[in-house]
Amino acid sequence: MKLKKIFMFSFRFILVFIALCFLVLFLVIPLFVVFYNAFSKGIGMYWGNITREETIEAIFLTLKILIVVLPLNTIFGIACAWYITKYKFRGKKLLLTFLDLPFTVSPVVAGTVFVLLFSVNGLLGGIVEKMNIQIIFAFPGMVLATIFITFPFVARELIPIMEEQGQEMEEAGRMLGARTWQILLKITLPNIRWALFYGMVLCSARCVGEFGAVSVVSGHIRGKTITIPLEVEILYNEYNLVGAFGVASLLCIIGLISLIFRKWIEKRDPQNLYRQIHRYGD
Amino acid sequence: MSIELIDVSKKFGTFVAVDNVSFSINRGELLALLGPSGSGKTTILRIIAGLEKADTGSVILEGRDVSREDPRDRGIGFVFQHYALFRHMTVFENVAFGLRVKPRKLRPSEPEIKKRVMDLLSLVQLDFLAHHYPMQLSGGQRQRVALARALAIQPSILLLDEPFGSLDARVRKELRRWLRKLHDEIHVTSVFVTHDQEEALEVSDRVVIMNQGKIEQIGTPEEVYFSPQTPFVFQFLGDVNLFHARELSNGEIVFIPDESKGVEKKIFVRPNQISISLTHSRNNPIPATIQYINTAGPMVKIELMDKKGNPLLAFISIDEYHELHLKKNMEVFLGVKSHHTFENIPNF
Repeated sequence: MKLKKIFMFSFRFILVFIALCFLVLFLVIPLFVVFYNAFSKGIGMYWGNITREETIEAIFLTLKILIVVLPLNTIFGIACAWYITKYKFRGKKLLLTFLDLPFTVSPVVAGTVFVLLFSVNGLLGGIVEKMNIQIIFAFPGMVLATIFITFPFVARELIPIMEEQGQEMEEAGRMLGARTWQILLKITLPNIRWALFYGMVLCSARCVGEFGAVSVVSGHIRGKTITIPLEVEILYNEYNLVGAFGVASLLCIIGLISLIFRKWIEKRDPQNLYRQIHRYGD
Repeated sequence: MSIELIDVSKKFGTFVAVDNVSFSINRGELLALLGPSGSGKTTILRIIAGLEKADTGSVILEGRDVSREDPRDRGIGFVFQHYALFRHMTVFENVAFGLRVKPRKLRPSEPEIKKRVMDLLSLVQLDFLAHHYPMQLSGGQRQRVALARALAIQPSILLLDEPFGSLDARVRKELRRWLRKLHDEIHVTSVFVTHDQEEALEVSDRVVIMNQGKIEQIGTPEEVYFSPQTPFVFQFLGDVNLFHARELSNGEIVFIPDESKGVEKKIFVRPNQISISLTHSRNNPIPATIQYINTAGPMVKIELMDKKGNPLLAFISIDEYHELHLKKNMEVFLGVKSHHTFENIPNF
């Protein structure tokens, strides 16, 4: 009996130990290295690095992409989750699989696809040229690539919660005479707002941090198509390690803020609250 | 408003949920759709509401074919099985919802909305909970909020899906009497779905009994209980004893049959129509052994087994039970006070 207890205890200890080792090795040390190197030449140098003209430009371009991508992917996510959870149709499984494509396909492949699609000899290259818009190696191409990479985030957050809630509330709204837009605004959205917000946070974090696909379509034109992650790469390749880590620390800070947001949302989410308070009936 | 269903069918994939069903509901009536789960009763309710489209057939409300009409234009109040209250809204806002989403021209003014909602909440005796959220209410309270919400749009038809299904037994009985009273006050044509025969028989004006997508019988609670038309109805509305007896040429039924005489006859007997005697007689010819006695309740329930090993059930009064001094494993003789037979019984 006692031996079994000791065994169970040491087993638990080993599990905790392995988990901690991983955390330290892959999360704590790298994070520490980023900030250590960023500040290795002093705070003045750090501040100088993150307020250089190129860096500021990169930050603005990244924000510009975010401002375009986030609303589009939010609308797409809501529409997609609504369609998948509230209607029965053929090919639902297929659509769900496609939704995961950006998670499974390498971003570089995604970027390359856009380049091939919109380059002069590409499938849509002719049309684009006729309309005289530059897509590849320019802002529109970077937006497209980022949309592709981040489109599942909102939908993926919404689908499980909307599935769990079922359609009864919407049906009740319909029986009470509500139009579809009234049902969406007054019933569906208020009930999923925290999940939606969380999905948007995840989408933003990924949008800001996306490297692979954006790198391919950007063409690396200094002062024109450089986002924060690309700026890190450029500085790194120029052997400006302190500068690279300085800009990288910005990405880390954005990531950490997203995590804090997440915790904050989890606390406020009435779905969570609902389970805690729920004592009666059912 | 009267409701008429004509040849309504509905399939889900290969499963036939509703199989060519026709019936009508009179204005102001309270009708129960009764049947086991999977019998198609909820599907019928949802087809009347417009939440489900029938594959064939039509739904006619007060002479108007609404089969193609959107549910929101049918003027139907619907109470969902799990209430489907809007959990991000207070009780007040839940009830006010149907009024607030009306087009501007038809929408009552704010003071009118307030008055109507509070009137409804006092009708369901919940005005003191107006500013609570659904999750703070008990099951019975939620159910009454759902009812008030459905009534807020002044529907000409009220549909209730298993209205007492998820409540505990005591609240259930209370609430169903209350619903009956409410219906007598407001007289809106109502249909409710239930799988509980006691509930259907106690509350409704008429009962539609369904099985496997088809109607077995329609009638008042008395009609279906005392003159069931099919073995299914008889069995569904209460406990049943089945005897394989024989009918002689003079019409006499013999329970301990001589295989050479007469024709086989299946006899259905309610447990309270069985008499128990300690001695064999002409009226009590069936020998059986007592297996189990349950005295808790208004009647004493006695489980028995006949000589062939078939289980039987008898309900007798407590006085009779004491008089007979019945004990477990005792040999007794059963008689049949009244019975039912059905012509053409397939596979029963």
